[in-house]
Amino acid sequence: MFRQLLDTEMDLTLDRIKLALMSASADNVYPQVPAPASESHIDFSTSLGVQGGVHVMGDPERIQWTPATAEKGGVFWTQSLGLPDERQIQWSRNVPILQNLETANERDDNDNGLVDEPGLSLHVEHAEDRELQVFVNLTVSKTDSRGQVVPRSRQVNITCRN
Amino acid sequence: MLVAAVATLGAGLVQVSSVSTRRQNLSIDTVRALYVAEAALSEAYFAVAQGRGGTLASDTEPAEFGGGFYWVEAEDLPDKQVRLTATGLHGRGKFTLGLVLNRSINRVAAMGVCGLKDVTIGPGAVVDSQVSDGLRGLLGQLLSPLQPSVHTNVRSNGDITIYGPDPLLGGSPTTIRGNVHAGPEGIVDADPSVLVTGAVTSSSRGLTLPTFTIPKLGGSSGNFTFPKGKDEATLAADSYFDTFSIPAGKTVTLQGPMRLRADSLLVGTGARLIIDTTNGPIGIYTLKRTIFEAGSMLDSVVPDPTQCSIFALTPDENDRSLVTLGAKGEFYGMLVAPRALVNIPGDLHMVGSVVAESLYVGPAAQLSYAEDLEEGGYGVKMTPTLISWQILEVPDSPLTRGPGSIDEKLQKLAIPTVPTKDSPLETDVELKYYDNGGVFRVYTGPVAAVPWGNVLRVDRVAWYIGATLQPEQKPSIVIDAVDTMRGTVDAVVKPLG
Repeated sequence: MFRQLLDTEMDLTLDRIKLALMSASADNVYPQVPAPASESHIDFSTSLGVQGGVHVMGDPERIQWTPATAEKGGVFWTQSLGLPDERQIQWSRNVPILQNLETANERDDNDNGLVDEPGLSLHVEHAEDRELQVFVNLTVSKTDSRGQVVPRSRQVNITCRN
Repeated sequence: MLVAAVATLGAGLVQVSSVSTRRQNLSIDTVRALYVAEAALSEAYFAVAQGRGGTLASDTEPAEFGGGFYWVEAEDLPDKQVRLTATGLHGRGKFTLGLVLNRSINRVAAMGVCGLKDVTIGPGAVVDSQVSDGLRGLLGQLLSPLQPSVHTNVRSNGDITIYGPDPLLGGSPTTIRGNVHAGPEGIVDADPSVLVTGAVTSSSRGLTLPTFTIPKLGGSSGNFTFPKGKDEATLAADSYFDTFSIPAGKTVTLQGPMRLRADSLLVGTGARLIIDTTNGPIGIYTLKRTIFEAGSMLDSVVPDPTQCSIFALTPDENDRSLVTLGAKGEFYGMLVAPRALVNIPGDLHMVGSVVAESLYVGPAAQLSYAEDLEEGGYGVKMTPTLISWQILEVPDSPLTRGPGSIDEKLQKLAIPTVPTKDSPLETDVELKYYDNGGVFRVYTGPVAAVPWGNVLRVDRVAWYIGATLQPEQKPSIVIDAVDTMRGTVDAVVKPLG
């Protein structure tokens, strides 16, 4: 039950990140950090479609990890970043400062190709021609009734469609 | 008491667990519906590439796909754009995606005036842009010549160097009526006197080219020899020579529709090559050298750049070729020479587009980019190009309304479904083609009954929706597939890595 809820939190968070970044334009994704580095936030704009023959992009958006305690934080999605109608929604509450099995030592401790990557880590890879792929690593962890920290980690690879 | 408490707790846990399972199932079903909608968009893209409208199935008869169902609505927009709206349904999940495409874009011509490695423009040169008034056909083109426009792009993956006239000697200013885009790590180095009317920037990404094919044309006839005692010759059918050389004082007219293939094309001083596309397009394919010597002449009879292309292609990716357009005259068409140093010294007025490896535009040369090529052009792949992809609200329909799985709704509403292969509206086709004997033929009927065994080369395709024949198309996805299958091309030139 406990693990199921943890899995659900991770799956829903990753699905939301996936849907947001799928609609993004490769030209408007920032920062574009390649492995082994990574970032805990990403800014982007999504397509609003075509009006009068012109491709219209939406207001800037951000997905980021924000600390709540010294060890843990949440994943937030910010819409209309920096604009008067900016709003923020929390997608996950249980994301540790670093990925599972990773420590801050400038090494790839968990052997996933990334160094000292945060609990929400994002890096990019340029595929053929215009394609931009964003790799998202997410760890969600909670302390169970026995006091043990139970982590769940997964990576998704998203191709920006615009 | 204890039993009741445990039972209540147990029931509560079961309820929480089933809510969680439902959320997970919904999430899985939604993701599956998203992928069904993406697959539907792919099917619709393929249909558009084939020259069809893009509509697939409907909410009254959805198509089956991977345990789910979909339909795609297509809406034609101005400027040859089409909006595709795909709805995917899987289990309890539903998802709608929107895609706006340009129906067909000539990606090669859209590069404008391009040197993949570098571009050098000499002092006094003019690079501008022209567009026709929209009239099609010979009469329209003759009556309404191309008009000036401002959409030229000079592009490179590397540096672009533009020289102005010598301040001491003076001379006409070097003028670029449009934008100049160097490569991601390149720079634009322009003399202060150079006039650029548009933006001067470095691109965020490099340029890439599609693959090109070289037609076989039945094998080489050796070297072209000029008929004795004559000063003029006409080629009006596909021709393949090792060397195609026009000596001084002689004139050759290429009369379309035809293709000319030669290892080397040499037009000597005082010789003339005339391109006549009055009755059809002309493709010139050279593999080694393409030389128009100074004092030679190159002329297009019809001012339509979409009807003639010169391809200087080297099948071996380590080879490089040389293209020198030292001729006088006016040439309307595309020049595609991705592994060549292309030199346009100055006497030729070229109206069309140029893609070279290294491009040198000489002093006082005039290059006019023809915007018409973005929607046409001979011998290049014309494929739909994505403009916008977005997630949309799921439309209201009996199949998307209310709870329950799609399978339950289909059963309850007695809605029939169709296999994916039967989802396009168009079932019959009019296919114009050359048969194995080179005879031009027209087939009209179901796609499934096209006599592919006797189709050597596809010329045009038009689809029927019901009894209404849709406009003719030249879908490269069909033409290329048949060319490859029948072996009418013998070399594929891959893009520069």
